[in-house]
Amino acid sequence: MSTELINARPRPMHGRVTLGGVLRSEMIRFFSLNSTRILILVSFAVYVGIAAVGIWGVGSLMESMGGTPNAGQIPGTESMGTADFAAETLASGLMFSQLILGVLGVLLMSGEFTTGSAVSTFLASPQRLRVMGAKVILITVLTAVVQLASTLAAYLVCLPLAKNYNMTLDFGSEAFQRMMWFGALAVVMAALMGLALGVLLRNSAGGITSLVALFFVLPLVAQILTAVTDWFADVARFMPDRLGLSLALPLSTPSDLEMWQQLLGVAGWVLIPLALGAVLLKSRDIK
Amino acid sequence: MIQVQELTKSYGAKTVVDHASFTVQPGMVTGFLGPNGAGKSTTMRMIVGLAKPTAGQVLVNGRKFTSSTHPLVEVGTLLEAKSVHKSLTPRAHLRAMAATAGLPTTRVDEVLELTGLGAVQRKKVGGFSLGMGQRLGIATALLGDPQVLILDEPVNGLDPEGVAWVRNLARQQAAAGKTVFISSHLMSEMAQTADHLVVIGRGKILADAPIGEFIDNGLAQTLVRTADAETLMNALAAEGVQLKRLDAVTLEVTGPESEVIGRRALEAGVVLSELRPLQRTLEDAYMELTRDAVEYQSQITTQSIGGK
Repeated sequence: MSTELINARPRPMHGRVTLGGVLRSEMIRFFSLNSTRILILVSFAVYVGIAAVGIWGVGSLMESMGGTPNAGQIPGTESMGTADFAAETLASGLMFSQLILGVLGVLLMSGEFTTGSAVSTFLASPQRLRVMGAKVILITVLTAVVQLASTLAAYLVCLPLAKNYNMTLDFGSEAFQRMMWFGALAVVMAALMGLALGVLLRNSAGGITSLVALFFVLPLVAQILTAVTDWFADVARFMPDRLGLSLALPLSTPSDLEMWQQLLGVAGWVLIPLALGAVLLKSRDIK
Repeated sequence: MIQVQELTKSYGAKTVVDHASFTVQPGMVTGFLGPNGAGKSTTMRMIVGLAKPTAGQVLVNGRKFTSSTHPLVEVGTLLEAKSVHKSLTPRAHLRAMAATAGLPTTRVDEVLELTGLGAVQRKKVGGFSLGMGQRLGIATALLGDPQVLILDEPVNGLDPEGVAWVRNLARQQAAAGKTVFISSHLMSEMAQTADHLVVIGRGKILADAPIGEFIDNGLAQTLVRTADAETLMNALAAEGVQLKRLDAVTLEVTGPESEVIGRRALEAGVVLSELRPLQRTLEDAYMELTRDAVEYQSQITTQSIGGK
């Protein structure tokens, strides 16, 4: 170690903290970590893989039933073979993307507290909500891009498969576009819910468990309670797993809610936990 | 400059920092001493806004740190050796910190070089020893070339060369007119580094004085050897005199100056084989001060119980 350099540096430091600066800082750390890169790759691979298997499965089933014209004769298979159905089959892995990238959301925030790096982060930007804002922007853009890229890749992989079975996979169709954009929304919703859980619980294991519970256990409980009271049927329609999927995949996950109601539900699941997290982040001590 | 005003922090019924008030002046090194659990780290966390005071306030350069627009340039802080994500490299961590404040990457190279981390800048922090983690913490604190330097136990885990380096760094920063606030429980280290001392015990500020004054403030201690210890003890017994018999022929006398002890011995006809004033070290002064605080506290408890 040498001490000469301290006074040798002549130029003045500016050092003003801006949202852009915090965002750059978050990106440097995000992409320096192996865990985040692995989660992104896994989400991508799982989505594309399930899409290919799905198209192949549906295609071979239709082939064994004697091709598209007869498909409608068996009850429940009316929509099979349509371009809309093919688009939704391609998105079979959407729920896994939600979970994997939701975990990424949890880790982005809980990692600060489990590793102690929150101390450094909030010393560099004592305005805590600015850090949270940067993380919200980063995870939103990142998970949306990952999901859109996964969908595009799945389309490119599945196109020759679908052709092979005489299925129509139309990128420009309304169903495909709806699946792609609302699918990205469903993933962003899960990631932001994960981020909120991360800041609320400050614990990776707890945050991930809660996220899984929200997507798997809560809907189950709601279903059971629906049998007991009718009132719960309304609540069950607003479970997070249903909202995101029914917007993207109306054929396989039908919902009797209006679109604005569904969007409102998504906004609620994102904004309420985030707002709660922001209030607690501002008031609690950083350990 | 750091102004701590009536600062209080309670966790439930437990008060960790109790109406602490002191000022850390620029241009000198201020040491922050206290036994474990005395509230040093909590006080430092409140200074930089990581913990919220239950009452009172802290001003850094005249305002609250949480509203600072240039935090890294204003205050450099080392709180824990490993407040870095374990899977990051020192370089990535420092680059991220620098990016927050818009500091150039060249500054990252400078502090890496400065703290001797150049060789390990691409190794993961998780595998670092305590000393290496400490160096990275100091590198982080120095990143913005801050006006105020707050270091919590900076020499923890450092080798002798590192300890000397931190001492030089602190002195140099103070000489450049910066505010340097260092906590430690190593008295000998503080004696060589600090100009001013703030002592905390059980959350209360026990002393806030220049280091010289702090040491001289106590009572004189003298070591006396005599074959006739009993007679001398009787001759010395008086208000404000503490006698401690170390063995059959040795006494430790606290209170009177050695000259007074010699005169009393002469009057009583006791032959002394040794009469030696004890040099009070910072450590002695500190032990005395914190011990008194503990006794004072327990007295209060006894009284309040007795009063009910």
